[in-house]
Amino acid sequence: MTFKRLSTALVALAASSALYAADYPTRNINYVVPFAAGGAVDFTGRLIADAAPEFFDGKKFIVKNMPGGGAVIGQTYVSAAPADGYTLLATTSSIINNAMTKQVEYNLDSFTPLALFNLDPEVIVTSGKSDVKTLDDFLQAAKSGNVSIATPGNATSHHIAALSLAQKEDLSFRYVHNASAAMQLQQIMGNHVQAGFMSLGEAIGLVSDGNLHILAVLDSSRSQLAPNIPTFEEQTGRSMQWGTFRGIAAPAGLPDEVAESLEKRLGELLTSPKFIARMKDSGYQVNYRDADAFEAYLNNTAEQMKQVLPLLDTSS
Amino acid sequence: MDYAALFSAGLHIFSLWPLLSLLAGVTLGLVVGSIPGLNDTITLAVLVPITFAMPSDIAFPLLVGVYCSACFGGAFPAILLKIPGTASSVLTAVDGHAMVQKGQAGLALGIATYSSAFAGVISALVLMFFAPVLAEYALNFGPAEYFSLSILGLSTVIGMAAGNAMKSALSCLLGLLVAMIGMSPESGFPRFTFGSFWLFDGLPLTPILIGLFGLSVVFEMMAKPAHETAHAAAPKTPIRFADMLLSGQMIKRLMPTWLSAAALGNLVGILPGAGMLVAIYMAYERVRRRFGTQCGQGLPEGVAAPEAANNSVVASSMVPLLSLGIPGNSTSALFLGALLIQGLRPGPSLFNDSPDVAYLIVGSFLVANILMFPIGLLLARLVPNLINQIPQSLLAAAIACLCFTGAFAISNSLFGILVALAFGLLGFLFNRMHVPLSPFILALVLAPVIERAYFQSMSISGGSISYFFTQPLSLTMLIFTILFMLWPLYKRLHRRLPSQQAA
Repeated sequence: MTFKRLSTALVALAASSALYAADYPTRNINYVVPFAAGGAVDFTGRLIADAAPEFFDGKKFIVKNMPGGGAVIGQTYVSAAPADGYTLLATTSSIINNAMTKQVEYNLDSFTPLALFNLDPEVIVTSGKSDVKTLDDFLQAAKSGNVSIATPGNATSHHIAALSLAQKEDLSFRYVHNASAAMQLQQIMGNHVQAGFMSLGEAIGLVSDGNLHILAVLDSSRSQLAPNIPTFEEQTGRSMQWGTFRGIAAPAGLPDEVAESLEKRLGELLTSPKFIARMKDSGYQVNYRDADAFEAYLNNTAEQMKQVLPLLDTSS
Repeated sequence: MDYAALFSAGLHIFSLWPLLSLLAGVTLGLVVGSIPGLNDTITLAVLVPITFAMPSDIAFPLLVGVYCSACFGGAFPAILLKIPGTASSVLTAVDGHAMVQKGQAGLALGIATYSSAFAGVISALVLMFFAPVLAEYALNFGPAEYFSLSILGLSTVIGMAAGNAMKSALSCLLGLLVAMIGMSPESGFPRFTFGSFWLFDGLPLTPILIGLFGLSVVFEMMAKPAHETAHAAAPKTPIRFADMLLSGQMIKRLMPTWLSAAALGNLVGILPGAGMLVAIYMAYERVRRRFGTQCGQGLPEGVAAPEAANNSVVASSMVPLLSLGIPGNSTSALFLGALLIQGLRPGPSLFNDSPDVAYLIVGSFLVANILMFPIGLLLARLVPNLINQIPQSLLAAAIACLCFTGAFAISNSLFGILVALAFGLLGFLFNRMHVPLSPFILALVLAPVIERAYFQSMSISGGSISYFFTQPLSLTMLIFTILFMLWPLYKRLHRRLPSQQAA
């Protein structure tokens, strides 16, 4: 009798461990942000973590900041973490250019893309007080090499955007690299440099007060956030697209059930009205793409980067 | 200026919930500030997402309270144990702890409390009434001005070790060398990284500070025989309130120091990216020039100046955020997030569009600094007596635990602990050889700013050095730098001449 009970218990135990993967999630999930606390990636990560328990059976997302090495530290950590669905990476374009420009132990294939939730098109801005009023003025001046450009840092996505435009349009910029987006803004608004490249989300709030002026949006169509601002293509007839993105990935080699479960739950979270409303309040649009679409987007961006990266001279 | 909105916001702060959350914020800030490794930025990063669900009149008083009092909280361990709780109290430790050893622990804590509250209130008033004007001034600071300001800041290390310029120079140069580790800001070329990504962004500042100031004290305690350490750290006699209340005479004596430190803090604080350390070093330098070798021996002004300067930086760092939308440092960047969550866009229109919240925030800064005074005194009365009851060996272990936890928490990795250990040893050696630590820190913080500003200026001017001298603000600061550097020389000559005449 006792034996029978014990064996039933054992069978039940065996059954439950076989179901382990399907039972995902059974514990809290680490959400690794490869940047210091306080930035946009950290901030949106905390918005996601705040909404997570509702979609992950009450389990929490624990935001772990792992800054260092231009996001390499956090990205390496996740690429080497167990592929069990309990470690996720806040994914940005740095995952692509780090793998291309630095001697890291991972590449795009080391990760399973799960969802993309935010696309922010690049804009060219000048100070509200600047003499450069139009994109035409800007391009003319830049041809003769008299335009200084503030960037939030060497080899950032915004620096690469400027390099890419310079290559396409045969321009030469003087680069003024900063340590943060705040310092970049200070130099543009103080009219110490002629122009700057940043994402629309960062610039839009400063336009209405007249402190910043957006010359062009580098996207295929106008943004809903700024329907009055024309694209580069509209003004010149030539296509120029650039932007930053924010997504979520896991280590490569996730069990299929876990990957499916994660993709479904994240999709529900990221498209829930409550999450979208909170993102909107904080100045971010939600542009959800599922795992396959995100993967395609990543590969496409990687192609685009490959063409520009030789311009990044890090040898001097 | 919308006085009606200001007045109603003022009244609103004194209703139950806003006041309670402000109180909670101030207390929390004091606690996290006093723990090495925890600071205002990390606390706010955790708190901001929680404020989603809160109405703005509870969220902002809470955040403002933490921000205001964290750097004051750092003064407690700085004075009592010579371990700065936050980077902003590295200089407070020097004279503060010397006062403790002279048996003036109560007075030192009292001065820190008065100075922080006084300067905090002044800068809150500046934020309230002059924010837009000052923000315009801040925008005038371009690369040339940042370069000259940092050079001016660096010139304050001259003679920082009383009478030992060589040791100061050594410390400063070592700091510059350590600052070279990591990616070049101009070209992205990795320097001294030996292929390790941990070194790519340079060594992280917080673990370095934890090592230099926290672990070095632990090593010091270990190196001393047991019977000596019994008297080492905190004061033995209980501190009474009477010890902490300053006499009218003392207030009169410290007033010039408070005013000049607050003015410096306000001016430097509104510059995005210039930072708190420049302000406290410049304020301390003023005191050092006035009192010479008395500095570092437990001089009341040596506590008053950095504490007044750091608290005035807090409110003034909100000036560019509230009036331009540019966050002045990483902590005010979190306020930007908090504002956006509440559906507010910082910038010139903030005070017109949502005066209730805008004035609630600036009002909270004022009231938080006032609340800090009684809460600070209360803690100053309780904490030292508590520390006294801990046996010294346990205290050393407890400090080591806090240091390791803090160093780990910065990047969730052992690397932070290794950095802290390495710099703990360095700090221990510095102390043994009487090499001052402060030039090291200043050089470490300013070197990247100087390098970046130099390359930026060269890029803008097309490689012309004269750029630094043709901008009036920049030129003025460079002239002051030269005067600062020649001052000790002049003083020495001045002293020698009369003595020669006498002979």
